[in-house]
Amino acid sequence: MTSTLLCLDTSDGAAVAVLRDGQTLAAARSDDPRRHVEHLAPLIVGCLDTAGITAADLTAIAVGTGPAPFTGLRVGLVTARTFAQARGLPIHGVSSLDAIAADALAEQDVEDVLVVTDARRREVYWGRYRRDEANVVHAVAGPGVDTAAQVATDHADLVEAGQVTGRGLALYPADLAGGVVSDDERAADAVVDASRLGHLALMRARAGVAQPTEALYLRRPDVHVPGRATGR
Amino acid sequence: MTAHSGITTGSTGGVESTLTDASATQELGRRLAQVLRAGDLVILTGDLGAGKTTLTQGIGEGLGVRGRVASPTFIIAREHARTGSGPGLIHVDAYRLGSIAEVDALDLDSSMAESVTVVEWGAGLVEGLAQDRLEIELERPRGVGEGSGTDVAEAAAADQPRRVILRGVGERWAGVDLPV
Amino acid sequence: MRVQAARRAGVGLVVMAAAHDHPPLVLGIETSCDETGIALVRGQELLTDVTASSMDEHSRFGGIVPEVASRAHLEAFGPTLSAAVERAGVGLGDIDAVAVTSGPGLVGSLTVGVAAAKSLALALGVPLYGVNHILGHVAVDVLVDGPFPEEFLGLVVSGGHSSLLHVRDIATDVVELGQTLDDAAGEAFDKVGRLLGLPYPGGPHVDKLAQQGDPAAFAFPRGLSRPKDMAAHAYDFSFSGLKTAVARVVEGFTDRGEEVPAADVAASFSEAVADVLVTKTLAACERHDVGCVVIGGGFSANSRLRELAAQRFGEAGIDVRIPPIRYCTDNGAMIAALGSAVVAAGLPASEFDITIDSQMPLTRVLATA
Repeated sequence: MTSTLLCLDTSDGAAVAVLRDGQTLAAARSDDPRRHVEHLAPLIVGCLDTAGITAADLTAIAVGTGPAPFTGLRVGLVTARTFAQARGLPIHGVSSLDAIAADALAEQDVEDVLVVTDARRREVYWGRYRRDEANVVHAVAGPGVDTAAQVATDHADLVEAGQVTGRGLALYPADLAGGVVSDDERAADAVVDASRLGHLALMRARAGVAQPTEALYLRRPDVHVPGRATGR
Repeated sequence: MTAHSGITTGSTGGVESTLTDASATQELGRRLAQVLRAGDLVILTGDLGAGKTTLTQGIGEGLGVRGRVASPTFIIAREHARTGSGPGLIHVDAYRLGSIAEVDALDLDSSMAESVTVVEWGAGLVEGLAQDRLEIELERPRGVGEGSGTDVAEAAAADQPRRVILRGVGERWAGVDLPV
Repeated sequence: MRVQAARRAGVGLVVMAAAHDHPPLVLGIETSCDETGIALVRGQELLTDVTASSMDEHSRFGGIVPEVASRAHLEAFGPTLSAAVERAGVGLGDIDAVAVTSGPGLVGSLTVGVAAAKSLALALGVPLYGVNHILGHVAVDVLVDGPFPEEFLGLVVSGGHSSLLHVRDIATDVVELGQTLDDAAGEAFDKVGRLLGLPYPGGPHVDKLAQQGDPAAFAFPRGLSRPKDMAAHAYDFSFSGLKTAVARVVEGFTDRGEEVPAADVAASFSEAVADVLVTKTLAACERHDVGCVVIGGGFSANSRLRELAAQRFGEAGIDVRIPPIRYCTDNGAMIAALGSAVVAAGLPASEFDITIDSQMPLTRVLATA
């Protein structure tokens, strides 16, 4: 049976792809780090049109679960979940950092990579990954959220070797570009490729791995219980 | 506390003056708008009814931003787009915000870099949003005289003078003549 | 890349065709604050209305925490949608149109509902309508009290809004007569609740306390009611000065070490708010020669407002329609009702690039990009 997968990610900009039996039929993205709620649906419409299919032709949904700034992340998750519910389709959640790591390690001749993305508040989301003998990429540590300086200290080996990718590299070059200043422009701007995310989802689904769509917030809403309300 | 422009230097290092009524509070806001620039953070402190929103109305008017400046309590943050070449205004009521994480999570369309951000109830909470800040304390008379019933309510309703203290923190405000 | 609006031709025709047999089935989605509301309306008939609230999580913080509300909306959306469809005894495929609150409200909360609504409309191949929350508070009354008269006034009072509207058609002809210049009515109640040391949200607590007090104990000010205010602000409201007066009276007692007569303060404050709302609405009825008032929004649950409205409008021979409390607070039915009215009026569907608008003006029924 033909599998037709709609892939969404809103961890950075908004990224959409349609895969049929593993082949990318359409892909589009908006790099605006806000305004996901405006951009995502038109991107989906555009990709379905380009692929020459309708919503009824889809057989599954894959979605990036972050970590990412909350409001944008939720746009992707609620869009994917609702679409799956409306069409009665299976849905697969994939860490957005996993997708970036898989992309980086597919194109580079190294086994390990540190992925750093923008967590705002002068921090980065990070994950450390390794490709095994079977060519499968695994998370070794993370995902976490911390200052770029702390992440650089904790993963000094990869920073010194220049095996770092993701938006965080461009945001905090002093900390994360290490001794080796990366001249790899693509790496500095690496964001989630929705097709890659879809491939990971398909691979994991075939392997029977559970792929929940819980949001990877990594931060609690940190609310002070107001003892302070009395003083004001 | 009689003159509108009773300028003195506040004991805490800020500039202090007295605002005779709500229109004087708005006028201060309008004059503040002349020195405010995009990227500035203003933190307003004062009890309920001290005039925080009233002052912000003056700032909004001085900046010439779009929309009516009213209490942002319900929606936490209200954005007022700029109309001319000046900055826009982001007006925040931080009373219900637990932490700085949530100011980020408001995911405002306009960035702080292109706006003046005014935060009510922001002291001790949002200082980290910018390198420098302008702190403004508004103080209204507390309570009313002896008595009860109608007289007291009328006295309490009268528009009475507020004390205001302006204090710039950080390099941005070094040497800036604060209007009072 | 630059995102292009996806024009979906023939979308309006889908609804028109459905209307041929029976009125279209409209799903309404409301996520402007802390309630996730989903409802189904056919014409002016409510089939089902399901609400999930995160208020329990907020009350211990003394207020709505935006990020807590947004997270709750994301988790509640799917189950609420399933429950709504199941209870209505329809399938998702039976839905003819999706209406959603585009604003005003909390940015993060609105975002979840609008993204979900777009996805649902896209997946089902039906038109989307991004609508105005405040007008929904008026529109919902049609489900309870039947068709609106040709012309009426709408008074929407809640934690976030105090607006007076002149309505000839809820979908196409609404004129804003006035609104609050500072605090909303419900917000003033919450703040007075805070002053009196009552739990959040203060509105219901102040209301309850007020029923044991003397409304004439303190003559609190009626905002914007003096002759000099009436010229420019005849139908605008201001509750900020009232709030300050209450604060100072309360402080007067505490500073003197006396017990605050909380019930009397609450009763006198409630009287001032209800009086100014009813007086100004009544004046607008006379000025515009309108014989019907619809009151909506969470604050219309206030008992003194209901009493005073019944009494004064009754004396003036003006019909007052206030829906039951469950339809006054935020819910999906209000958005489904407004969506149904918008569809019936034949307004064009929203594009998929519509934005949320945290301060959507009343002059706009539908959202824009």
